[in-house]
Amino acid sequence: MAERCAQSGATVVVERGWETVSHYTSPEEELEAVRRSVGLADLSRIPKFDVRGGCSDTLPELDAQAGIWPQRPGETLVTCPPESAAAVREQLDRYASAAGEDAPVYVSDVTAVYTALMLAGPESGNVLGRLADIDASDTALPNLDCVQTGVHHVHAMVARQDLGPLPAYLIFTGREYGEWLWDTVMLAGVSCGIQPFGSKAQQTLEAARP
Amino acid sequence: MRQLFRNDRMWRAHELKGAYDIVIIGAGVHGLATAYYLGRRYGVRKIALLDKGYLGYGASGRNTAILRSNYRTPEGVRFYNASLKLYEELSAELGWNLLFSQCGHLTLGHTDTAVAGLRVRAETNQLLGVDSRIIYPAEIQKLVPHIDCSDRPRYPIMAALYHPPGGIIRHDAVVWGLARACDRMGIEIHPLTEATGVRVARRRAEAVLTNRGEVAAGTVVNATAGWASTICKMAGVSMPIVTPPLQACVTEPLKPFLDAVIVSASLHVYVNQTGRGELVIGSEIDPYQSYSMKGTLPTLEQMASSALELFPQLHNIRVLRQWAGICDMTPDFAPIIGRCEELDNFHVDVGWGTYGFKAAPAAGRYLAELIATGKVPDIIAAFSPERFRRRRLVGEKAAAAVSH
Amino acid sequence: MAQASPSEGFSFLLNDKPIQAKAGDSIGAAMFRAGVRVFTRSFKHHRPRGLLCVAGNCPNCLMNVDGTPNVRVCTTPARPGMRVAPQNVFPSLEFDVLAASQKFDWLMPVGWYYKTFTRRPVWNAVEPFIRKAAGLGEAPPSIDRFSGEDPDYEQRYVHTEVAVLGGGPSGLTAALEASRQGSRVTLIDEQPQLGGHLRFTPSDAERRRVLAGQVEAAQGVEVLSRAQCFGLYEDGLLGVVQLPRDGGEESLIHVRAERVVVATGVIEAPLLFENNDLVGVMLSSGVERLIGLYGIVPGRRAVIVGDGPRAGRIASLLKDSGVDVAATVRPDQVLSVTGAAQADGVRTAGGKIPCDLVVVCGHLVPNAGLLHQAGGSLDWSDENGAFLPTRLPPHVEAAGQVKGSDLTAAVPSPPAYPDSKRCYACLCEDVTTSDLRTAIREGFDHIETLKRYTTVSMGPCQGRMCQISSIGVCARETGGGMGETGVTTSRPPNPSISLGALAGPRHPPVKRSPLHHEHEALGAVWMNMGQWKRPRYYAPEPDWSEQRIVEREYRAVRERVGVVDVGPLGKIEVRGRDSGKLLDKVYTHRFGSLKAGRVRYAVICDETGTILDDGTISRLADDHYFLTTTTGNLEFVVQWLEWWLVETGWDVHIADVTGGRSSINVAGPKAREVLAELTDIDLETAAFKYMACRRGEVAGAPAVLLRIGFVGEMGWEVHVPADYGVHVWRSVLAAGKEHGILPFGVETQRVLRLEKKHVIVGVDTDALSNPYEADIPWVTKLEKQDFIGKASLGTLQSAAANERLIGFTMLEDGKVPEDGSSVMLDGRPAGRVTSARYSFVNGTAVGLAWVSDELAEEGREIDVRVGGKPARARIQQAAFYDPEGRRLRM
Repeated sequence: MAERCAQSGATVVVERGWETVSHYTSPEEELEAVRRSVGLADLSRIPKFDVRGGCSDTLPELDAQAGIWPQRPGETLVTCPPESAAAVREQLDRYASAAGEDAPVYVSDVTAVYTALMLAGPESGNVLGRLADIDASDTALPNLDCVQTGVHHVHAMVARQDLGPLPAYLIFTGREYGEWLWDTVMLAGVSCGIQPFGSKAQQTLEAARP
Repeated sequence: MRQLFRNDRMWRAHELKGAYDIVIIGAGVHGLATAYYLGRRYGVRKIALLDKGYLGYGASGRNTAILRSNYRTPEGVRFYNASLKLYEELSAELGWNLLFSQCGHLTLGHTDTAVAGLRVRAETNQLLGVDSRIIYPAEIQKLVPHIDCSDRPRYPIMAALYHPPGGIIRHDAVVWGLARACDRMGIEIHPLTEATGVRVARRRAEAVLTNRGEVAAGTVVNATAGWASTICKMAGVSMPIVTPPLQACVTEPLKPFLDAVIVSASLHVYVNQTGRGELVIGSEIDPYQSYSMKGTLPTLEQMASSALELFPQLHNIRVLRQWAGICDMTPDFAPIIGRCEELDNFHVDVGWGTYGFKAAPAAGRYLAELIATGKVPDIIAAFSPERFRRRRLVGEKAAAAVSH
Repeated sequence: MAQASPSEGFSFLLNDKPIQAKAGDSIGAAMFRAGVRVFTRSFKHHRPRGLLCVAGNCPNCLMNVDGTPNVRVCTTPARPGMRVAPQNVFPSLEFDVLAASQKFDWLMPVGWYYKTFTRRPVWNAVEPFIRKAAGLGEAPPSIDRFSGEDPDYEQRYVHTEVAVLGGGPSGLTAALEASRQGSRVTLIDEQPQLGGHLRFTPSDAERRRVLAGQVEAAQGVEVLSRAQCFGLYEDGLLGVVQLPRDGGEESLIHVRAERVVVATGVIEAPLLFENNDLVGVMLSSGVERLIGLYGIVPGRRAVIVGDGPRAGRIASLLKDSGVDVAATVRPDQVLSVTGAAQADGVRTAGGKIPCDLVVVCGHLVPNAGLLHQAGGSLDWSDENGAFLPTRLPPHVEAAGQVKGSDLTAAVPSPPAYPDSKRCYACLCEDVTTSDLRTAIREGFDHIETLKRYTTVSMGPCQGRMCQISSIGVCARETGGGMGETGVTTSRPPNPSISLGALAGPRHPPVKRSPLHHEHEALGAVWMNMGQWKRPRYYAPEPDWSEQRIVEREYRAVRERVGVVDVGPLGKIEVRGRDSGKLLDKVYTHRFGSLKAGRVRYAVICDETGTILDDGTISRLADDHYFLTTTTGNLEFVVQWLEWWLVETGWDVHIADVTGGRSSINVAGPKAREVLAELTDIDLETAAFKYMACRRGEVAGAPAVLLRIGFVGEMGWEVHVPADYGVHVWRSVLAAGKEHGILPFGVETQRVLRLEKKHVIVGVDTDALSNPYEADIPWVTKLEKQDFIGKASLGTLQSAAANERLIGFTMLEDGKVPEDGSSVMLDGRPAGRVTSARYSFVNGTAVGLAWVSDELAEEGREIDVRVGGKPARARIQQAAFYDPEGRRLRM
């Protein structure tokens, strides 16, 4: 994906050992676009943990910023901001080691397994409706809920994690589909005026989260 | 010429009698062909053909009418070539034009593995005297000026198996022509007559029960394609058959531009243009079992998408109808023809999957021989019901993902 | 291109001549206003045809617009500069020489083509000429004349509680009602504005305004205008096609609704009398639309065919518009319409009534196809003169005229009609009442066989214009009533939809390895492997031959060291206490007893003993296995494992981690030296045996190393998290530089493995291969308690093989069989080559082939076809390279 960003003329910086796009045009312009219509960011670097077994449907209290996305009974995906990775991992490991012999829990770091793109802005539900057969309305997919779906028959998981008042969705697919997914979402967003945004704009937007 | 202005009835209605020498369940192309050859070659006339729908209701009227003999195994090639040869002569024999257009048949390969699979077929075909060869994009483009042989598609065309004698025929005409010929021989055709049971005693299927009464039978033939396993079940015979739907659609008529039948196994699609100018687009069998004959939207979208990979300039052509037929699939994708082991007078002509239509004349001709003489003709020996017990399967499955 | 503001007029081109249009005009309306009366020539008889329905239902106005064939110009909005041309005419609409075919139609009674040219040589000679006459729209441009730009087709998914189909008064009322009950409503309306038929009835203008205003103001109602539902599929899925607001392509919308209200109203269909197809004969609703929507006066002097209030209403509308209504004639009194191309009068028993417009109050046919598709029945009602929907599935309901409200029969049914070659039951296909009668007498007396034999209702109108008439004729001829005759099956899509809209955006998925751009930079020549892109090889110079490139990469591996990206291999982590149990059940070998730190070749068979997949299984810890699968079978293997796990209650967790690992194989005599520079793991054989695995760091990245030997040299498969992939790849290339390392591609790998006689599942095996015939009997452990395929494999072990997979070497230099070539015995096929390549170590080609069991004998000479001719080869069951496997264990 870094290659793709370099081609698009993005400004790339290194954050916590990751090559990250700071901005594509300018952080201000990107913020404006996301708030007005819709933007897309590559969040593949966010830490992801796969928690299996036990009663992992009922996870312990985790870091406040962690996203908890039940996949199916006994299987949960946990995400968190890069800075809380160590804390969340520790919380999960503690939970696993406390699990009983008869219902063991397994935690794996699956950060590299999934690509994650963030679709944010008032038009984001609209773009989602051009990609996948899911009901993105507030009643069917409220904030902090997630749903399994397909994008062009590629298995995907969509998780809603609003940025304060701004609706936002994380789209997960296998990492091997990363570049393709980026292109596909951008294509679907053309008529809504989609704008890629970098980590600068993203950080500002995330500050709006309660 | 005189025939043009004669409006004789094609077939007549009859009262259902209490007994026949032979009762054939299923009056599609297979049942009709069996009756036709029994009458024509062996003089058997006391035959009743039963069908639960109107004539040509089932797969005979739902297939995409493609004929070819470029199969993978020697057994398959010999059999389908015999069928093709019978089809070539059938219009003249029946005095009824089946509109058989030998426009050529192209099976596309988009990967190394697929091309190797096509070569297996070309080589076997050539050694058995069937016109079939591998051709490459330049020649494909010449034969089909409208197809996209460039690098633009996601899976560019690497080569094709070209089979000049293959083509399309008018499927309904085959049903009607055979029905007329049977009727002229005194064979009775009973549409809207549904088999509801089979009375079995002393290792024999003694009678077929129908919604119009019971019919005693000297010999019973099951030629019901998609419903094959349900009819067998009535007779207490089990068949290793599953029944998935197969879908197709047709577009508005266009001026003729596509003269060959195009098949792409990798894209799960086949396309040809009928004599009326419509494009017929077919898909691979659906990945689930069902007796539903309604089309589905995802399959329609997939057919359109695949067709546009091959012919991107067709994007604004409109689809008029979609439909589904149901297919009786066997584990090795080869048919089951012959007398069942369990019953002495119960014959099956089933398991035709997605290529029953092109087999009808040969299946009918040789099943008729088996019924009339009691001996299994060599050409269908490989397709016997007992091969599953003996683990002597036929290797068509490897060639058969989409092989219409 | 002339741009005009919508309020002014603008022009477009018909046959290169400008046509003036007003804002809001359809193409057809503008043409009609400009004096055009003949829009098309008919399919078979090339009869001139003009506007009939003005609703996009009939085939009379199909034209080519900007290169798109079969456009219904009567409803398609006109735009400045568009180019409109007729189709299926020669040379022009006004004068079509093929119209002469009418004179010969006595030679072409219904089904004539079945009854002639039955001799093969004759048919082969005439078929091309008959074929040329077929078709309607233009053929698409050949591929070299097609611009190749993908048009933008969008698709959307809409979820709703109530979908209402139809924006007429019933639909609007239903939408308001549902909205009042608090439901989310999606209203799907074909028109650009709400109101349905209220739009073109001036007296209803106020009612329309009020209703439409309420719907627009209602809570939770989304209106999809210019949209039509073309299919009611299972599970509440509606296929909807929507025209864009301003040019562009139509789009497909998937609507999922819990409840569907079908308020699609009625379609007016023609009545049967002689010359009912002449230009100037119009349906009453068509006339209403021309007047009400476009302000066009359709004629000077009209005869109305019809009776009752409908006829009265249309008469006063015409009079108000300044048309002289010559007479209103009951349908059963019409003998024929007169005129050559254009109607000039109506003949009745009382003589001819001159006119230039014949307005037909036709059948009002409930537009109930969708209800039929959804599983409802259509039952005949004499009172309503229509087939009405009944027995609807629970989530579907009908509202308004589609279910018969306010519907009266236009004529008694089954209707009377003349047996005429000029009384058209089907306008699309030029099927006359005479054709239908003939066909019915010939035995095609079931409505479905009648349809197939005469092609009635199989044309572009999809039965809208002709279904009711053909049922009527069939009912009358057979003496069975309308209800008994019944309707033909209604199939989607109806209305039709373009292939482009169905296909949607052209953006097929691509899987890329984390090293994709590294390969690109190294000059990779790509090949597709499923959805993956893989380097076939790396071209150092553009003009190098494949053989030369492969030999270069090959020699690096055999003599020094090479590295290949094996990222596309399926990778699965299996964790949990009972993992061994599951693997023992699914795979044919033992894995529960595999020691931690060891790797084993693994095969999956199905219940019949057929090989489904192969790969390796490494035991990383007691409760942790790492599986690799073939690239194409990953999804299957995951599902297969999950399937056999269901309801066991075992503690097993299966995770597909394919995309999360960057995987490379470093192989060759110098492989150890290269890797040793990057890791602390002891790679010496004493510490790290062949078929062992270790965890550690490689170039600072957490890694799993498997010592395996697919290519036949000492080597390690190195798996690291994908994000480290590029770093590790570059580090390996840098460390290997002094040893002459080269990256190699799939083609080179295939040569290397073939020399080792390593089988590729799916290439060297097919859908019927079992381990015994494939010459890998050691992969099955029949003494194991139970596993999938055990019973069949037990039988197969002792049964005679049908055929066997053998290795062979070509005896002549320069003869390299292509994959798929035949093995011959006495000129007959006796087997097939699955893989063959030139072997650099052997000096001739080597390969794998399936041959009949009796041929499969060590040292036997066989004929393999090369370029269509037999060439000698010898069977060799041992590997062609290092048969003892010493190099793997160095």
